[in-house]
Amino acid sequence: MEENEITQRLRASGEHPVPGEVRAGHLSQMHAATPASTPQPKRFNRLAVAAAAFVGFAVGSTGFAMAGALPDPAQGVAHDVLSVVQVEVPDRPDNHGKCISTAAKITDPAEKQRAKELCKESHPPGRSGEAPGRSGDAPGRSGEAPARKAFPADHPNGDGDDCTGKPPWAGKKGGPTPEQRAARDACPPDLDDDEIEEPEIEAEEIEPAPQGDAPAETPVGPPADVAPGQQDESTTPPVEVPAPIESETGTEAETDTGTETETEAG
Amino acid sequence: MRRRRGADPRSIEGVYDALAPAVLGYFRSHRMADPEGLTGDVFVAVTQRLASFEGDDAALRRWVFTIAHHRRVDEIRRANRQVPPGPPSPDLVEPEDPFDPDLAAALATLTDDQRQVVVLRHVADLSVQDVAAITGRSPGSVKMLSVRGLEALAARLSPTTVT
Repeated sequence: MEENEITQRLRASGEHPVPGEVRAGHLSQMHAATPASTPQPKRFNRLAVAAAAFVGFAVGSTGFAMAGALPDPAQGVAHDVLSVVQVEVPDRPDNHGKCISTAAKITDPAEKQRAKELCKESHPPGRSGEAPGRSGDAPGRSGEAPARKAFPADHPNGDGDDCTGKPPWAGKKGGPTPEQRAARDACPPDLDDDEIEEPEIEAEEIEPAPQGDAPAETPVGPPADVAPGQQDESTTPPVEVPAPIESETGTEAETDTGTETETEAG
Repeated sequence: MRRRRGADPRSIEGVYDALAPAVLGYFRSHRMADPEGLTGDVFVAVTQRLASFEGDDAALRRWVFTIAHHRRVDEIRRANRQVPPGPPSPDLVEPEDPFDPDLAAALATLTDDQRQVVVLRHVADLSVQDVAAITGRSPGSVKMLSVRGLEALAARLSPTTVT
């Protein structure tokens, strides 16, 4: 059989009309399944939705930026961007580096120093807003630190005190002048920690324990490495043991330390 | 040319009269248990989605037979889930094509892939590209399966063949 004949038979099998009752049943099912109303046209097209979303985002982000409620990096970006269109938005609070870099671009030294000081005032370091260090003096390059003060020519530390720091003749040839030597000799002696003399306590100054106190802290008997018969009386002072107090049930001696010694009578 | 088909009854009837015979022949060629019921299911689905369809007549035909193809696959899966292993029950015996039983019997001897391609290509009258899109095959594979299926049908339906 030719393939053309087969294809014609195949095509013919797809062209037999649907029986009338089957067609009616299908059409009734299709009418029942027809959507009740035609679909409403789209209220907004995509362009309008995108434009509304963009406008909402712009307005919202600008509002947050003007309130200073954005995160710091975003706040800085919003400040930079909106300043172009003359919209005042607070900058990020800790933009100290930008302030310094801006001040560094100033060519006039006086103006540059003034701008840096303004940066320092507007951006205090640390969380407390206080200057670093305990003294309150700003260290480093400000010229106000003690180590960088303009010292007098005749004194290396320039603090006006001849009794502290290096002597005025340190590093100079010729040694001190008589006046400098006299002023230095007039200074009170330095008191270092290791030079403070601690009062020695003499053995005789220790008062003996009162009667009734047990020599709890006094070693009794020879040391462990000494035989009983080889006690050196010079190293082991004799200790008087107080006499026990007799009672009906026994002898009881109580020491200050709370230790009790009980001896049966008899 | 692109045109939108509304959901008015006349358009539904027009689509049905144009494509329902081919859809019914498609299910009969696959010897489905209830080809009329499956055809009704396909056009109910077409009716529900016709308002949102955009395309020309060829696209509409491809769309309708895509639905028919999925409906057939679903029916086969459902039948496989419901039928316990063993001999088929009398209700699931495949009916013979009332118009060309020899052709239907010859189609039953093809492999499922060959039968799928031959029926979509010649009964549904779809192009090679449309058949490839529906079955998920390459056009070359569709052509090869169609040729081999037709050769097998010719050998099966040849008058010299002893059955």
